[in-house]
Amino acid sequence: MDNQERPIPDQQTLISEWMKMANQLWAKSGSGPAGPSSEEDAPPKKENARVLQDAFLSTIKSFTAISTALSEPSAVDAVFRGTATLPDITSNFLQSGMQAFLTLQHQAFEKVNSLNERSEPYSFDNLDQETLQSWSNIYKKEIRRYFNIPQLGLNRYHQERVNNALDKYNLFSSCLAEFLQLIQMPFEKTNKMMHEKIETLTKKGNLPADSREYYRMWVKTLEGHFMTLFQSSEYNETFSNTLAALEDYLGARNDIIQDMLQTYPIPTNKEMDDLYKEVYLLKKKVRKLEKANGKG
Amino acid sequence: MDKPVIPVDLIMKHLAQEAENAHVRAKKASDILLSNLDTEIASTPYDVVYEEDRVKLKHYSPTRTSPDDMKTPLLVVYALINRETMLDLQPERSVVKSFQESGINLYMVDWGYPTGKDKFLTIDDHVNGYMDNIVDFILKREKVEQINLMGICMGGTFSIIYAALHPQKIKNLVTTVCPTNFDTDQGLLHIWLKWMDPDKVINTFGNMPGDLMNLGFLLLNPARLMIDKYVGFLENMDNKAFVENFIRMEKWIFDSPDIPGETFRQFVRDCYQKNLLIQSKLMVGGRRVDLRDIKMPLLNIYAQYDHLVPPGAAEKITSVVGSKDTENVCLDTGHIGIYVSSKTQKEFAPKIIRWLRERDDRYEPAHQISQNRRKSTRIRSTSSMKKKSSSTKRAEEMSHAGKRKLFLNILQGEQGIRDHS
Repeated sequence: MDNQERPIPDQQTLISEWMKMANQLWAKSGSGPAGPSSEEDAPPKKENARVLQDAFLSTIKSFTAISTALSEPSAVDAVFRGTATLPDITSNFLQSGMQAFLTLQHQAFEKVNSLNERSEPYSFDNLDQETLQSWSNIYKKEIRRYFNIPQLGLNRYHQERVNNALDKYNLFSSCLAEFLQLIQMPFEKTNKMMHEKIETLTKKGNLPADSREYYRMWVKTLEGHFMTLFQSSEYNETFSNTLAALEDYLGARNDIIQDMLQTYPIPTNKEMDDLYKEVYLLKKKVRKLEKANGKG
Repeated sequence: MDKPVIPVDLIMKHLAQEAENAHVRAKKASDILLSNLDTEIASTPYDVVYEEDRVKLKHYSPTRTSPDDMKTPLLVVYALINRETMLDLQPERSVVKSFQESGINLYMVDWGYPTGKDKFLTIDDHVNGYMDNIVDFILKREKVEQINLMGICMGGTFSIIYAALHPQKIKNLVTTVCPTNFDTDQGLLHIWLKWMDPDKVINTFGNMPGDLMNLGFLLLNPARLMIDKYVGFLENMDNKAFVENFIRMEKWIFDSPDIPGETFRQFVRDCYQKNLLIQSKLMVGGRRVDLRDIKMPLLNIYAQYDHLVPPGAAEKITSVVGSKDTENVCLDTGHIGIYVSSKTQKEFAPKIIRWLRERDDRYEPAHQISQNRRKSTRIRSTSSMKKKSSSTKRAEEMSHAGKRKLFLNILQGEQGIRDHS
């Protein structure tokens, strides 16, 4: 019954109590272990251990001070106010992901609807790249900006380099996926055509008995589809974009390697390039002089 | 009884037969693949007579000597893509051997393997540097005033640039599968390279990686080059000679040195994208390459089914040079087949040998050349080795009989009539 009569503590009181208890616990542990406590008693060879212990005690004291300050009702209230804004941040953060998901779902539905449409042989006019294209767009519009958040502090420069490399890698992966999808399309179309051809031959009763004949038909059709694809502007654009994205990624990756190499006592690529160029120009000058003097 | 719509019995019978054949073939193939295979390439002996940086000059001495031998040495300049070993892939299909046996004093440039330090080398360094030094070396060594120059693919483009900038050193010029007109959509390479940003490629890679080039070449026809080729290998791997030749070709095709960055950048930018060479607007080493300065005889051989240098990219050169003695020859084969197929072995090297020999008799000191050229008769024929004209056949017979002068007169006369009509 007593329990029923006792007032139910509110959230702030509970947190405050918990903080106090935690402070006491850390304060006890911060008072040091039993045993030799004075410096005279400690063996001199354990100097390093003593330094570590001091650092630990100092950290504990700082923590206790901060916890004590936080256990004040006004501070606990501020913490709660801060926590209340968390759902907003999380919601903003997730919003992009959700939007991306919905866009993808929409694309998927459209793709399912278009499955019944007939694929024209030797034609790559209406390339079905929407799904990958939406991935790419989502990345470029929504996700990419997180890699461009300005970095701060001592590591700002290096962190930006790493973020840039990650961004370029993602862009390259997206382009490569589009390119690979294009490359597999002739196979898809060829298989479809082969089914149709076999159906026609079956109806006519002209099915070849030699299995190599099917292979020859298949490879010839495949070649035709590849040739048509390779001449399309879509392919050329995708190929060119993939190559450019690969170059961007390799460039960004090389920048990081370059930075890392600078900390080692070995020359970087840039330094070697400068040297190569100098040697190249010198050699050219020497040969010109040799020719002018008739020694060449 | 009616014929069944689906001949299931026949199909099953064939399948059973093929399965049995495949089993026998696999057994024999494993014996072959485990045996000692002769897959050596470039086995014809040579001497390295000149070296500069990574570049070497190979010398193949003629294997026979006769009064009929050509006086003028021949320098072959290969492309920077892949290696010159293609001309000597296997003993019985070796252009090098054919030249040697015909008494040609043969020199060949080996461009070597460019490394990072070569990335700044330009077309000027290759043409006015290495090539010019090599030509000077041969002139001095052979004590002659001129040499014959033969360029292959990109090496042909270099040879044309060289012949335009140093015409006094070249007696006869032969170009084979050589791209000169880049404003064509006949080959995929010409389409693709127009989309490429060479600056970005070179800023990233330094030199153009050979493996990346190879990937691009394979993508020109993946159905044939990445699937059908290996299906063909599987079907013939019980044939030792086939396996050996296949491996030789594989060795050559994937032996791809990188291309020096600046050279690649200029070649793509100025040739493939701006098509400056054929318009005589290309600048090399601060000089304009004026094709009208090519006044020596020019033999231009290309291939009908070349997917890298299609006829549209190769045939135009003879109509823009200053020479009055030019000939286009289109062979019924592809870019590589022109050098290695057994069929063209009987046509390609013999045609070059004959053509050079016909012009070797005309050897004259350099100071007389410009004087006499003005008098020369215009010979311009677009012939195909596939369909030999009666005049060509007659010329071959007479050539063997040592009646070259008579032949030339007849040919010039016939050609004159054809041009006139």
